[in-house]
Amino acid sequence: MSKPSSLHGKSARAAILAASTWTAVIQLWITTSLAYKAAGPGVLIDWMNIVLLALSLFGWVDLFWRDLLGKTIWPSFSPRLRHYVCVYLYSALALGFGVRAFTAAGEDWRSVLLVGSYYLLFSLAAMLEPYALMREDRKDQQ
Amino acid sequence: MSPTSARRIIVLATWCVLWAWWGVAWTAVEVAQHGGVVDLLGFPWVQVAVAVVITVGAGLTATFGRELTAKYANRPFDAAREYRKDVAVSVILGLGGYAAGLVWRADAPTVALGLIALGWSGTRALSAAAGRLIDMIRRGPAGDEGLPK
Repeated sequence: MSKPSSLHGKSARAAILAASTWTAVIQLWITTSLAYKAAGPGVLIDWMNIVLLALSLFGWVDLFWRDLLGKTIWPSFSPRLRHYVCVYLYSALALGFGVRAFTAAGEDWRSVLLVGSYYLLFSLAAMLEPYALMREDRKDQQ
Repeated sequence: MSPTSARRIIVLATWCVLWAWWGVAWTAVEVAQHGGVVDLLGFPWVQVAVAVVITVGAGLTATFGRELTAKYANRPFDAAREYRKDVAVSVILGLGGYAAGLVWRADAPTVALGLIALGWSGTRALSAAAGRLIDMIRRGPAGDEGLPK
């Protein structure tokens, strides 16, 4: 079995997944929130949040099942493919926050400045995770 | 003038022309949008900055993938050169993509998702071409080692 990730790595991924999951939920369903106002009306942003929610759930399954319980998700899931999938998954979640920041920085950006700047800073910080994952050693063995 | 100085001037001139071209393009967009009145101070610069961040993020993701592939294929990967080059390409694509979104009057989520696609695919497509351009500028006459990397 390939070397499991460090506690730092697990914590960072859990933080990104928690933020991504919760932000998608409040942007989709909590209509009184500032995050909902920052997202603005639109089918595309709703679909993006649904996709990001699905990706986050996949990330949670991977984090619990593989990193915390030490099991493979399914036997045919090669560690090398998982390496690629994780890099792209966390990049997608970080870019999702970038899209939210962009939407928040629209015409009414002053009223949602706080939430928009949070999105932008979190997007930049979250991009460190796929970089760190990419820099990990090769994962050639199951 | 030594060949090295000449090539340095060519690099700087290329950048200046590129940025001047963007300046003209953006001013044209402003004129088209506001009926001849240019208001660059009132431009949504915050959104422009975020657009560039998104495109650079998407471009870097493409570079992560290339570095990972090189790692598994045991191929050398000059990370510093590739990242510098891909960030430069992504910034240019981000500014161009945002200007295109303004021209087509697309809504914010469409522009943002388009910038991700542009950053990812554009960086992958243009990375090799940008590398060849850099090599061509760096390459000096026979016997010259060219610009330091």
